[in-house]
Amino acid sequence: MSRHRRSEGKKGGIRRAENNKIYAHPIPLVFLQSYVALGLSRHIVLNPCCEGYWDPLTRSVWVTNPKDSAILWQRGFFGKGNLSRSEPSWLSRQVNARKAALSGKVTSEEITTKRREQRKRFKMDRANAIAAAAAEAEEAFRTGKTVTSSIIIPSGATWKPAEKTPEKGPPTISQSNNRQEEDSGDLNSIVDVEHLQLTPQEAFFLIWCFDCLSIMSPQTDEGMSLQEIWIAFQTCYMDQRGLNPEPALQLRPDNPFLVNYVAYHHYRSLGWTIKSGVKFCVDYLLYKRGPVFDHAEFALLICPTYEDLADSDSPTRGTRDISWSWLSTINRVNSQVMKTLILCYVTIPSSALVTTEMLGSPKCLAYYSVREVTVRRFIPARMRD
Amino acid sequence: MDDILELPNADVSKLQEPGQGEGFDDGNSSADEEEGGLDWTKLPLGPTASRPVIPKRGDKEYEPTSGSNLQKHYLERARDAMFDTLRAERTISNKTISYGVWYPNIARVHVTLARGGHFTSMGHSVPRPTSASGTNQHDAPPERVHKRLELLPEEALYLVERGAMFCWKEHDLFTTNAQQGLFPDDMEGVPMSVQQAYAEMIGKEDLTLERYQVYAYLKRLGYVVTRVKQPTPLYPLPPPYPSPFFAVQRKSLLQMVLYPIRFMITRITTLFAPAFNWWKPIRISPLLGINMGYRSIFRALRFIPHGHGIPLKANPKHPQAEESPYVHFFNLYKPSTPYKKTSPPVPDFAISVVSARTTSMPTLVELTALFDVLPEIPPPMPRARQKTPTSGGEKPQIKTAGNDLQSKTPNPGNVASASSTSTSWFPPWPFRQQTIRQAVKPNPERRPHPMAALKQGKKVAIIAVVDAGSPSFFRFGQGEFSEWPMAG
Repeated sequence: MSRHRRSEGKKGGIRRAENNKIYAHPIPLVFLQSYVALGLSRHIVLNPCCEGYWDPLTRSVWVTNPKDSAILWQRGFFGKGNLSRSEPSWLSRQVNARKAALSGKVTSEEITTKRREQRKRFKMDRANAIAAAAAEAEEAFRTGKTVTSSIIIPSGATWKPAEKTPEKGPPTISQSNNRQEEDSGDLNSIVDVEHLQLTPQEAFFLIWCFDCLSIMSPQTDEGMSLQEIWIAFQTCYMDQRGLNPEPALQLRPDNPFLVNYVAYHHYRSLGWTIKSGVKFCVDYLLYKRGPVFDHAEFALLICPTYEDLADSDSPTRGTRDISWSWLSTINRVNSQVMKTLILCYVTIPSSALVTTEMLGSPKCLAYYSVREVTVRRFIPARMRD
Repeated sequence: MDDILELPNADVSKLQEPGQGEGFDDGNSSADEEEGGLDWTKLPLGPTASRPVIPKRGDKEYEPTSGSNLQKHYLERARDAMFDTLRAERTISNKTISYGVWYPNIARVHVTLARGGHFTSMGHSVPRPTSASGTNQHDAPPERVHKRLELLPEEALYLVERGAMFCWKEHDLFTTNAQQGLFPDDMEGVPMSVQQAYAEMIGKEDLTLERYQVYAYLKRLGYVVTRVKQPTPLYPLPPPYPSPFFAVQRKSLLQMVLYPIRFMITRITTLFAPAFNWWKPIRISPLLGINMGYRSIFRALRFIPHGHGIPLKANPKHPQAEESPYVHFFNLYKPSTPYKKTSPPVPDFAISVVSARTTSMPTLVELTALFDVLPEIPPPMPRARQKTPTSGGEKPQIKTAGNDLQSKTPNPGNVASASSTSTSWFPPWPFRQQTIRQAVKPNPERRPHPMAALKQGKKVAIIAVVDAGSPSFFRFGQGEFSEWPMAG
């Protein structure tokens, strides 16, 4: 077993070193130092200048250029491939599926499916073993004899998948050889239909702070200015039924875009990588470096708080009234996956103080504030010493 | 039923009830956080030794399998064992029972005969005037004031429910002694059953059923539970929380000298620097070398107001400002803390109790009010590794002991590793022992882990949420993520 662990550790070490090289930059900007002459060096900053399209229906920015998608994902883990789990890997999965032989690069989706199949087989084996043991015990009880059971119930650590029958071996190799010759032409003809999707918060962070993304409007196919983007991101969360002809005139400080952006910006500025937390009943997940390195440490639940109670009955989302049973549920789910739940209280200024005019510029962000409160269970039986 | 309770049994059989024994543990597996049920078949019936047996939980079945006689047999056996144990008569020796009298008008129980170790942590002494018995009412007898032991309603109810105290209700017949000879001499009032005690004591002196349930649960686990707010001025209170001295210590002399110089420099640079542009918050200038690195960029990004230091806007129209249910009610001391009734130490935890069905989550205002009165806790230090054999006398520091408000000084485990490097030139071993005790400087290599510090937070408020009898406790920590940045 130690040999097994050592070889796994070596593989893990190689993968970690690779990941450290690929994901070395926390933001899309790259700083270089180039030598000019005689020991003088010039500092330059490389801006990738990515492009994306704004889609108000899905409330996301689409980055269709694969090079830009790769840059945005690798430098800061921004966005999500719309046909993949996280990294846009649809094309490589299609290529892998066409090739029958194992290639070196296995995408995360394939690893997950393989793992899930193995787990399903293990669970079936275990269920059969438990049923057999129970039937034996029942038989022993009925006849009155105590029989030592010879059935071993498999445990997750020691189970090995059953070996495949060897007859299927040779035909597959020859089949795959034929297919490879056919597909080598097809491989280049697969059109990548996947794009990278950025949430409005991620997109605005990239544009506003680093100026490394430019957004085109889908109707006019022209670049949108920062002011237009700011207004568009807010209005897409408002009532779209056409009842208000000028949504820009009815901006309110409790707009979900603003509240989420305040929290997003704050934690990004502290160096955390932020991804969606919908899998765990929360708003955001905080990663120390990124999803490829380690599991998320914290699960963030945003609780907007109105500073002025008169604003509480507003048409937009409003404060979230969490009951204790709901909080216990979320806490339970997250402690099961070893994450600490954090309530992020974002205070919303009163609409009397921050008028609609002020909401037309990011200056209104100075009126919000972010506070965090960690939630953990306290078990008196364990805290006695 | 009351006749049996009146005169305690001479039966010596001590049946330790599993729910109320002092040494009772959950016996749960480490993976599950809930309290486990007991395996009643393993519990001793009848006269037993003084130490109770801690039963382990049996295996859970996945689902009811119809037609399985084995399963039915196991279930019936477990159920019968439980009922038999519960049906057994609970007794207490008459040499260990205490007696008290319940006075409804002052909502206290006066303990006339105190026995057992309960009263080292319960009850407080109150001076009350006593009138000499049997004298004519018209004379003015000299009123003597003498101190007597009194219990709060929750303490009394806990002891009565446990069976450690027998409670009488105060009645005129017994105080004026007009009906002498009618009742036995040692009767001091009308005997109260447990049911009557519940009915009388819950509701008095701010004691709700939820608060009592939390109190009884914690007392059964061995904690010492006292009140935060004094019900009477004579109730002993712990000293106020210590001020955060380590926050003051951070500023060294050098920093105090450099501070005005740094202040002037920043003032001058801000005069010449352009104003903060909200449309382009990060200025990256390769020529001037501004923000040309990841660290400075991340630092420049932190302009959103954050942290609990920002004052909350007061809401004058807030209707719930006065009647917030989130208020610290109980002080909690761990069983290992040396507790003295007359001068209690600084509490380990402070608990507020709410009902889950009627109260919603605390708002930011209520949480801030809870945090305001609490002291700051130092971040949890990592577990110290015992390297040197000479440090066998020091107790190892527990990793999650960061909640302890009393642990202000750095742990002694650090001392062992600090002294291990310096013992090389200390010749004889008796002197080595002395230096270990004297060296109190913390090891600079041992720093708190950022994740553990973030998870604990700076202040911890415990809220007990009672949902129809079962309490669950939550630790709300005041987080400060800006003190542990991940980049820059």
